[in-house]
Amino acid sequence: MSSNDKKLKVKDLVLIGIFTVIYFVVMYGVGMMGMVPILFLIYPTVLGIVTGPILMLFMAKVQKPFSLFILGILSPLLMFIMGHTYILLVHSILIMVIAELIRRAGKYNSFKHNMFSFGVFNAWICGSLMQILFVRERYMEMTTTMMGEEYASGLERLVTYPNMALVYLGAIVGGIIGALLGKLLLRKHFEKAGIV
Amino acid sequence: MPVFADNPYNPNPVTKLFATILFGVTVLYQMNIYFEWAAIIILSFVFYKNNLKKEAVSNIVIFGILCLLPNIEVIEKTNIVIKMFLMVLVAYRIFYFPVASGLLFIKTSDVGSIISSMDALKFPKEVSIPIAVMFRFFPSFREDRQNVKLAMKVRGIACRNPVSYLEYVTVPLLIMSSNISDDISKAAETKCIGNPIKKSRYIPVRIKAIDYIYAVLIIAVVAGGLIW
Repeated sequence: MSSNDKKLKVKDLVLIGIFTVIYFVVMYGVGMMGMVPILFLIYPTVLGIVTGPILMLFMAKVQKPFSLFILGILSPLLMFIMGHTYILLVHSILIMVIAELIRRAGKYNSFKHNMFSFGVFNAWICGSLMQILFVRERYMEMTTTMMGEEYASGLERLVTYPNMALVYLGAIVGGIIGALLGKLLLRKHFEKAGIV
Repeated sequence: MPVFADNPYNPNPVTKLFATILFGVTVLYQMNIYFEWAAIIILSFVFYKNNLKKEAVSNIVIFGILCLLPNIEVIEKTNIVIKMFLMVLVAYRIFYFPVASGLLFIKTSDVGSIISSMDALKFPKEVSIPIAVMFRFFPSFREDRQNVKLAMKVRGIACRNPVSYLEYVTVPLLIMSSNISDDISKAAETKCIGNPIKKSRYIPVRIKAIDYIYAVLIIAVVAGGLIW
């Protein structure tokens, strides 16, 4: 491929916009389970499994530098506009740079690299939990006055840095499972239909 | 979609974005309760003047309910399910201001003014084109989802097995969306979106009196609320 083909064209940018919408809608659909506080610890894992096929199709369609990076920045940007803190945004940019670098190592078309890249990509959602960790003192204060010591300390034991590491690990594993699922779907449906 | 551009009480998207970012500070630091109410009233006023009467009222009512929350000591003795539900509300209370201000941004900005303010802020086209596409695509995506549901009903597929459900919904949706993306790219190319020249916009971003007033009021409220 010549260097000109590696640049993002309008077609690719439109595709990025559309896949962001799909990703965002699915993310909110899955996010409903986050209403139950314990479940939001496994939310990243579930999100990875569900959105895996979508992102794998996207990565199969656009094999160019920065496509994944832009897609990954857009949803946090939208969430930022809708009222999340800058922590989420900064966290996502860091995650996306790593994901982009992994994809680059596989020259954008190796499935193995794309799979791991998606695993890392999927960890961006942990940023929304990190926000709670960041405002923990305030949250705990309000919780203690309202719920009593017992519940507050229970929650405090649950949302800690070591547990967050587990959540990250869950996100990456979920992403990899989703990617494999995506590969299956790609082979079963999209290649036949000529979409990829 | 209603056009808000000529409404003298509608700040431009840049100002609204600035207000949202400023309100983000309130997540980390507790504001004084009187200043919180002042902020709520400002937001409701802007909602009201932009013909969003329902949002204006619900903004006040929801915050009023959220304010009542920590005072009720009876809650402590209720069972675990209600407690969990209330925990979500507590989190919502912390994030309330940025969320409300974000809602204002989304509800009162139309695509044209968002695009021209992205131009004014010198966003690269790699970001502004996808965002424009997103706003264009959201409504048609909802329609497509309805169509898929209908098609499933017609064929008698009602199983709620999550794995096969996932396949039955995502595959047609993804194929539809790929086709739509081809259509949009063709339309965009014919309108010369890829042409790297300075573009003139149908809806320019203007700085009106309300922009100054809104920005100053929000700064005053947030700063005042944090100092007291």
